[in-house]
Amino acid sequence: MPAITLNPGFICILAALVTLAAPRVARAPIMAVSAVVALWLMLDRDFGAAAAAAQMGLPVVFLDLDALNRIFGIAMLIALIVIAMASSARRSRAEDAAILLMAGGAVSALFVGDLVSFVGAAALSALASAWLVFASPLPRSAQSGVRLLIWQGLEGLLFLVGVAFHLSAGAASSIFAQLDASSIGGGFIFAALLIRAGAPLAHVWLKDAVAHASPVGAAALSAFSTMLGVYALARLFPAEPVLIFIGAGMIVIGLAYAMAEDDLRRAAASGLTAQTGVCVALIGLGSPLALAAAEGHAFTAIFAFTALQLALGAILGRRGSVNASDMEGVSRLMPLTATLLLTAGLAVSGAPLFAAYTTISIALEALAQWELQWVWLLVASVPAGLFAALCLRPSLAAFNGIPQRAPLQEAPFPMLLGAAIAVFFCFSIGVAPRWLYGLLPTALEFAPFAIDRMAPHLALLGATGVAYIAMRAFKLAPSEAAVRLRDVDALYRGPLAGAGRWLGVVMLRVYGAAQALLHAQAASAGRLAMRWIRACDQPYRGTGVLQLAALLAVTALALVWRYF
Amino acid sequence: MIKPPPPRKRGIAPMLLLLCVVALVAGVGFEFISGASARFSVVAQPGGRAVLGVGVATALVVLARGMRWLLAVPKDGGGDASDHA
Repeated sequence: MPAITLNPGFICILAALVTLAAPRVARAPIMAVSAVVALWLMLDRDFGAAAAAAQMGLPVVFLDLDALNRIFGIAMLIALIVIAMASSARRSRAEDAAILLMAGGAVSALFVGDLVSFVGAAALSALASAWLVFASPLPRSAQSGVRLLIWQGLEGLLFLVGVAFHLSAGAASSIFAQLDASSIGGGFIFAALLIRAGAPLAHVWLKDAVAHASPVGAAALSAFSTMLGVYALARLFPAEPVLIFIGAGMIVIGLAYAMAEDDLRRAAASGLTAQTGVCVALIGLGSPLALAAAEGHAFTAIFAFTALQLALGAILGRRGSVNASDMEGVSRLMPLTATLLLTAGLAVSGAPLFAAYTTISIALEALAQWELQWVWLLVASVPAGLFAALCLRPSLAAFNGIPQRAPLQEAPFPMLLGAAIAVFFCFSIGVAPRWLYGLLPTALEFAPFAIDRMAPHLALLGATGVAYIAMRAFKLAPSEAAVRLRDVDALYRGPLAGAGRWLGVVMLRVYGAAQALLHAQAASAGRLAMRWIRACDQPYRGTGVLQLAALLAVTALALVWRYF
Repeated sequence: MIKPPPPRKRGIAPMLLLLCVVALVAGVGFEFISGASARFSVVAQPGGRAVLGVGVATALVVLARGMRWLLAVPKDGGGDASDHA
């Protein structure tokens, strides 16, 4: 029997088309089954490239499986199963199809073996993510979708220009392998991937999209968007030193906004930016251990942030908002959701016994080997910062309750189930990380629960918690208030947009004034011409002498022109 | 008739504080007991990670205060974030 060499992502794309025509009860099962079939296709195949076709002289490799893309594929497809479970809580055909298309595009991009196919699959995933935001029932989601489309369009444009420059070096160079960021083509592709990963200045698109997506859509955006950028950076630009600085910037920006934002879904998106920054910095380091840590950390971050976004989305679905300033009493009304929020916060912040702890330990070990003290300090700060921002802060707000009894308003069961399964994955991998270590491209013998690794981590989280709770008790920490924070997007959503509108109004007025002036001049010239023509028609009048002289002069001029 | 006092709000803060204190004591205690070998960084010394934790929490609180002061706009106001597509 011939081996099936279908790219696993194509299954999800086909399922997206089926979902568009499927009844509501069948859509969530279709999503889950497509993810399971794609997983089976991926795990059933040995490593290596499938037969490549040629198109316009370029190799087109639809499937090239190896350890690097397999680990990302497993994470994304399991996340899709979790999201499918949560999806059955609401009815939105467009959203279900968009999630499948986004996941399918991202998974296809993981497994293709040439640049052109990668760009096509990544662009499909990006378009689907914009569709996902458009399909959200939240207010202002359409505007957010347009902004996301602009970012994704810019990314796609950079990709295409980069690939075009890169292909000019020869058809064989379209194979998806390490590139040089200092070449023109490589530089454009590098810039496109930085947008995708949410590097500083381009980090705003993720939290803008997440804040306007539906409860389940935000989880899908967390799982399938930035991590594709991490994968491509690991594949195309490993050991690129500038990535260390970019990752450090992402960590600082992510932690700061995660702590300061009132909208907890925005805060969670900023936390994802910080964790993505850890992966990007490790890719910049480029040693085998650092690359393994980056891939493992991306794997665990996908589950942890899916769980957190689903828990936050469950609160959003019931209460209409998920602001830290508006969370009082959530633990009374939604006890299970609040508990899931607390455990998802622990998972995100890499508490011991959760998956992120097992990978952040490898990351710190990899950085310690290179004695990069400042990067080590930043990466070691990430669990502490996220523990305060995404575990303690939401929990303190949610469990600050009203004492009297109130009727339960628990989230729909599928949402709770999805979040619980994602937390369970985080916990099970955290307790038994050898399964994850076995998936990494680098053979790894690592003992995360050694006392000299676990004790400092416990001390770090404990000290952070004590300091933060003490600062809140003494009113040193900022009180929760309904505010929104400006970011880089204030340039194009605020002053820059205002300046553009103002300039447009001024230009329109100048244009209108110029048109009016031209019109007046033309009318005046027309009146003069008409007066002159009328005078020429009446040569017998006294004033006609002048016109007669002019007529004779014009006739003389015409005769001179004709004969000389 | 005596008006009953407003009901006390129960929070999770004391329990979380207790858990954090336990984690801190256990972590620092095990660090000293295990006598971790000297590492390349100051914060990699026994007890150093706890100092780092306090530093991170303080830095983030200061940053959050600064950002709220500099960058905050009311949620319902127009401000910068009135959506322009």
